[in-house]
Parts: sequence; structure tokens; C-alpha cells
Amino acid sequence: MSQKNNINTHLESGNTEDILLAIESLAHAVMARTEYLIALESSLDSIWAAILISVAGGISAALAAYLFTCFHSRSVRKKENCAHMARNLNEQILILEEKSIYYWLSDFDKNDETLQTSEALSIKSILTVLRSLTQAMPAHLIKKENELLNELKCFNGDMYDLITGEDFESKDRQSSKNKATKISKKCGIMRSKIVKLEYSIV
Amino acid sequence: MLDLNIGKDFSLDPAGRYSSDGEGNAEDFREKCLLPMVNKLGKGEQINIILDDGVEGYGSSFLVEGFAGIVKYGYLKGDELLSKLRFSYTDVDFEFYENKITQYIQEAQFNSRENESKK
Repeated sequence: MSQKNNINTHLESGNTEDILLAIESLAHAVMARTEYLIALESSLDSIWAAILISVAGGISAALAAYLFTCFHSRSVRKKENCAHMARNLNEQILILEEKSIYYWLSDFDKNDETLQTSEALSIKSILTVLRSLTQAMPAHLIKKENELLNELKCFNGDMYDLITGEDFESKDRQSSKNKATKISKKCGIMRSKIVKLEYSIV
Repeated sequence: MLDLNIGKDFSLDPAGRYSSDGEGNAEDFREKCLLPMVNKLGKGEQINIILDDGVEGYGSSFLVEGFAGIVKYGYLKGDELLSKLRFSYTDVDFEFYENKITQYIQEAQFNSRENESKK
């Protein structure tokens, strides 16, 4: 207010020097107001920026937590499935071992043909189940599992040759302790590998 | 191209090695089905063997005797026999049997055994 009076006094006096002084004062006043507005504007900018940063940070944290939960639960589910599959594989190998050892420890008996045919069919069916389970194993889950998958594929082929070869389904079949021992040994080795896998997953 | 549908043209339950093992045995398959067809083939012709139409599976004793027997008993050499066969199936699990048949034919020693019918 006093600055305004000053300017008015200078202008009213009509003196050139006074007019120049009034213009100078006016310029100062405008400059001061401009500086204030700039300061106000910049302070408003930083508040908005702070609000935006906080909101964005919150959203990012929530999204990260959500994604982590999703990936984690997916990974846990996959591990559980894999462990479950390993247990199934182990059970099937055990059944195959028991049935085929029994089959190869007995001669063909023409008085009990139905039972022997049923045993042979059951053995072929278990071999098929084993192949399906092997194909369904998720290969990407554990690095070591790739080796085991290849071993399982070889095991399926070897067991198929060993169990259903020679006089399988033949009326000339004679018991073979040697074959039964080989079957038992190979099945035992594979089962122990699968058990190790099961424990490494869970 | 000739078709040999094992399930329809031979047996729905192929099993056993020799004629003495009963119906659907590998010796009968080889002597009465596969070999006559192979002998009928013209130059460059192939037999399309349908593995899975009604058949649930094969034992290796059947596959060895039925297919690799052609090589073992000196009818044809392994690569010659393989060039005359192709396999088809709708069930992907039968790819395993195709691979096994190929393996047994490749591993068989040409004319390494005498063909003695066990009948």
C-alpha cells in the first residue's frame, strides 16, 4: 500500500525524475509479484509430484506383491504336482516289479492259463501307464529332472524288452531267476532315484 | 501302397511268439500276413502297417518274432525290409512300438537262425 502511495506521489508531482522513480518502483513491485507466483507454482508442482509418486509407488508395490503371490503359488502347485507324479511313478514301478518277478519266477502252467494271461495283460498295461506318466512329467521344473526323464525313458524301453521279450506270452515259457533278478535290480535303482527326486522337490 | 491293418487283418490280440502259443502269434503273422504282402510288393512300393486299430499293445516277443524274424531267417536284409514298411497309428503311444520294431529290425542279424516251425 505504501509503495502504491509512493508511486502516486511521484506521478502526481509531474517531475520527470519522479516519474522515472515511479516506473522503477512499479517494475520492482511487478518483479516481486512474479517471483512469488513462480515460487507458489513450483511448490504446487512438487506437491502434485509427491502425490503422484506416492500413488504410483503404492500401485507398483501392490502389483509386485500380487505377481509374487501368483508366481509363488504357481510354482508351489507345480512342485506338488511333480512330487505327486513321482509318487505315482514309484507305485507303478513297484507293482510292475512285483508282477513281473512273479511272472518270470514261474513256468507256464497250462492248468492256470487264464491267470497267466491276465498277468501278462496287466504287465503290458502297467508298462503303458509308465510311459504315459513319464511323458507327463514336467521337464522344465528342475534341472536335474531332465537327466531323470531321459533315464526313465531308457528304463521304460529296457523294461519292455526285458519283461515282454523272449518267451513272454508263450506256452514254452520257463521260469528265469536271472531275468527276475535283473528286473528287480533295475526297478530298485529307478525307484531310489525317483524317491530322491521326490525329496528334492518338496 | 498296400495296407496291413493288424487289428482287422490279423488279430485284435496279437501275442505270443510261435504257432504253438495259440491264436494271434507272431510266427503266423510273419508267415501268413506280412511276408506274403512283402513278396507282392512292386518296385518302390510300401506296406502301410496300421498298428493301433483295435489293438491295445504288443509284447516285444511278438514284435521281434513277427518283424525282425524276416531278417533273422534270411528273407530280407534289415534296411531292405525297413524301406518297404511304413507305420501309421492314431494313438501317439504307438510311436513307441514303431520305434521298437525299427530297433529290432536294425539289430537283427541277417540269416542268423534257421526257421524251425514249432508247430
